[in-house]
Amino acid sequence: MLTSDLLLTRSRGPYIAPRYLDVEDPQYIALAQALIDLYSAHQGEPRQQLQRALDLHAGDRTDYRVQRGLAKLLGDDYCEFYIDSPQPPEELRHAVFALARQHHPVVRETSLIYPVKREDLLEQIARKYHISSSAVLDGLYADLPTNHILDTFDAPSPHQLLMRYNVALAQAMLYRCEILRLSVYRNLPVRYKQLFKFIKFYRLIHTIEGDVDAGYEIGLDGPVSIFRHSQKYGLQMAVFLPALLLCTRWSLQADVLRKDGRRQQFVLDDQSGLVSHYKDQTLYDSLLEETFATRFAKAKTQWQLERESEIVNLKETVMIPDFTFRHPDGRIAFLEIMGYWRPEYLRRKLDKLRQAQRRDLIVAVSSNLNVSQDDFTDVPGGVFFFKNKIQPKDVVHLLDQIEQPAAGQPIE
Amino acid sequence: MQAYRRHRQIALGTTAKLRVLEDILKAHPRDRVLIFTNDNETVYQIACTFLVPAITHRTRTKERKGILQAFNQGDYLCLVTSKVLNEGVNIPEANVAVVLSGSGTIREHVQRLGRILRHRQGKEAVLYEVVSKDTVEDRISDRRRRHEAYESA
Repeated sequence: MLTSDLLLTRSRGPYIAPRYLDVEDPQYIALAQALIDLYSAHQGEPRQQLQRALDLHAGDRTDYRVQRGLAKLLGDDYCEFYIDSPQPPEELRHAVFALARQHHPVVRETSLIYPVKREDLLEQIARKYHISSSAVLDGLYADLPTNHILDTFDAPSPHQLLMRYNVALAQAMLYRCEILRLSVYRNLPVRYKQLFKFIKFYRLIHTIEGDVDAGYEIGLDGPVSIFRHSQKYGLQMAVFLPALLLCTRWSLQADVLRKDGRRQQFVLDDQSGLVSHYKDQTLYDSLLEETFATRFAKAKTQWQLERESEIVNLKETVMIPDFTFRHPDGRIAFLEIMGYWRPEYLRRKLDKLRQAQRRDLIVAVSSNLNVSQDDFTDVPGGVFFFKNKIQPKDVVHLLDQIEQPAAGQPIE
Repeated sequence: MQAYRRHRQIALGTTAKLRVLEDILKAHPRDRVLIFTNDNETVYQIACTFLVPAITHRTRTKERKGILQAFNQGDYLCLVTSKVLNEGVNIPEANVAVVLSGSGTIREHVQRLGRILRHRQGKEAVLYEVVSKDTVEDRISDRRRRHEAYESA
């Protein structure tokens, strides 16, 4: 993510837009390549040395803010740093300073008055921890970010970096956004689901209108709106943007509050050429769902499957199940697939289900997940496990147990 | 931009200053010494050279509290810091301050002075300013001393 000082914009009348880089411009490709090479060359070295090399490279270039932006993205998104110290640095400091206190003041050359010098003290500590005295010195402040060691650098191509930069510019526009209006239309249900997941995950305050067929109009409160004047919220809004980029048809309109109090509009749509660096999680889900949908269509049942992301009200929260089923007699039921989730997300999901106390929500649980039947004892809806494929008969069996009338009241 | 930073670095944090600092520390073996510098890099350079604890904005609250407490109790005799201790921290035991580098603002200077001038019976405080001669620092030092505390002296 870029900091606000690295955001370069251009105003035109009521509109404001970032100064996107031309990702085909040989000059910027060369710059990106040079920075990538610098990072590669500094693997295994402290951040400080890398920073010096970057500063040196910037030299007198007038576009140093572009350069700093690119360098920051490389450091944040493609690098891993680690603390290189044989002992916890704080413990080491404590030991060194306490020993130095006994020989205060620490001198660099011995004399009659000062028989012990700095090196002797370092040596003494080194012996205590069975390390070298230079390791003591290096470890002393190894926890400072400037001393973190560049461990792995997963080098992007110059083109990828420039694309990432353009997205980051658009993200930075949202730090000072008052309100964000989104329209998304003609997307696959899974894409909507992914988008809503992100809105909820980043706890963006929202209003949603519309449905799968017509598309959705989403209003998001920006970080500089009266309700949420916070930097953290601004970041959350910014990290949400790449999720939007994964949608196929969308447009965005944001009111941006400038430092001088003027308001300008920032617009963006699916034709802008920005490419998300987020993984499209719908790929895994959709395959599983696709197979299930085809198989269910052949199953002998009156239940009709709808690939519709109805939003189910779960008291304090909402859920967007994978499938909705309708019976000719008016019954409605939902299926939620728990396929491939991280443990903490799974736990939250389970809590949600318990809270919900809905009998019309069926849960299909992958046997790859680390949960058992016991985890579902107080979940009222039907639960079953599946290995690789979801068997329609398992679902039908549970659907038929749902009583009339349906308790499901989809909202909006 | 680069040249400007380099130019200030020469003026504000030279190795000669470290030699002077060593002499000052030797002159006050039993005093509580606070060392002020302008930039964090120098803070950590001093911390590693004289093996004395440092406090910057990077120092976590818990460690910072521990260091201040140890300093006030005499478990540490010396403490090096950048701008974070300028204001609002109580260090009653400090009686020697060494300003290795600083900005020209009077307020910052007075605050730093205030760290060591806490009144106590029989307390005598000393403030050192280490200035590189004939550099931008001469003027910075002149500027920050335009205060009544100096006029009465």
